[in-house]
Amino acid sequence: MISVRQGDGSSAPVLAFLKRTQYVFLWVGLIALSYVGYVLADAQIYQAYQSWRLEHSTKRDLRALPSGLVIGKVEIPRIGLSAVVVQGDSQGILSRAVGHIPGTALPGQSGNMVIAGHRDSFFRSLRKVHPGDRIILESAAAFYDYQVESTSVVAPTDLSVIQDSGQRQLTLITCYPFSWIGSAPNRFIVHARQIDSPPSPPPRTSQP
Amino acid sequence: MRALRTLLPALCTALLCATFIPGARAGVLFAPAYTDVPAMPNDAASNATTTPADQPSQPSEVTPTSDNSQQPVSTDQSQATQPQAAPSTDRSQMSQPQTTPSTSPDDSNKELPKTASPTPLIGLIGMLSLATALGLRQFAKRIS
Repeated sequence: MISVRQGDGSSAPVLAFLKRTQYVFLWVGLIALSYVGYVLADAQIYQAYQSWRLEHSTKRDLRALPSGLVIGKVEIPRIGLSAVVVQGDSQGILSRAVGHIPGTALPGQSGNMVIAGHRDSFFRSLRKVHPGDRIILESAAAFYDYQVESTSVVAPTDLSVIQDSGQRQLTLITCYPFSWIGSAPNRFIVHARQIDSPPSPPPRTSQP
Repeated sequence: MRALRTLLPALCTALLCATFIPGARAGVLFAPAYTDVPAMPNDAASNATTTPADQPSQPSEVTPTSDNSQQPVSTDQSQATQPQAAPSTDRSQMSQPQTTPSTSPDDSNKELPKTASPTPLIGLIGMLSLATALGLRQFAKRIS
């Protein structure tokens, strides 16, 4: 505990030290919060821009999907989840969107399509997901409907959740627990299966 | 404050440029994202090589995967020799070797992707720093 005699000139050095320390903390706080604000704003701007581009895009058939390419948009209407899906799972991608794990199935393909996202941003509302919830996956040319079958918590080393089962599945991955700060010890998995109804084409404005 | 006034516009400009202009990040992270969004091979198939008359029950269920039962009927004999060919309307693409992404995850992945960002921790540090600064300010006022 700092003891300072009031009304004495000896308190001046302490006051100067407190003032300098106060400014250091003030700047550290402002810089940290500014960085957080920049990250959140950057992600929101990216999401809005890529959503707009997805709605106005034309179809193109690619032979390979490079990392960073927008491949669609995932939505869970009941819990208000909506995020652009980008190919790749690097930290740079996951900070601005949710990532499609390379090597897993693509929208409409038979197999297990795996999407990962940060639990503190895009996939935070996954904690409210329940079996039976509808998941809509929008690609450049069609909507695909999935239905949540189950949720589970697994270890990060449990790769069985991304294995291909041969059926049209969608697996969402995020960290668990949701209230954890830092690298979480587990992963929260949402298992969904494509509904039998054929994918419907989204309303689009065709480009000339 | 003078330094702040000098640095702030430059910092904002740099952040805006880093956000909207790929620059040195071109080809690294999001460079391909600004091209047209690709249609999935399935989508191309459903729009190009299948008609409601071909598959009246599920017109869009054609996939270019190993599921041979759902392969579209094609009149191009050269395409029949390619087991994982992606259907397309472009004839120039038909002559090229067509590959689709593998449906099995990469073996190089030993763990599930890390889905935690440092943003909450940085935000918490910022909030605590501001609270400490305010506390020090009050303490300094009290002893002065």
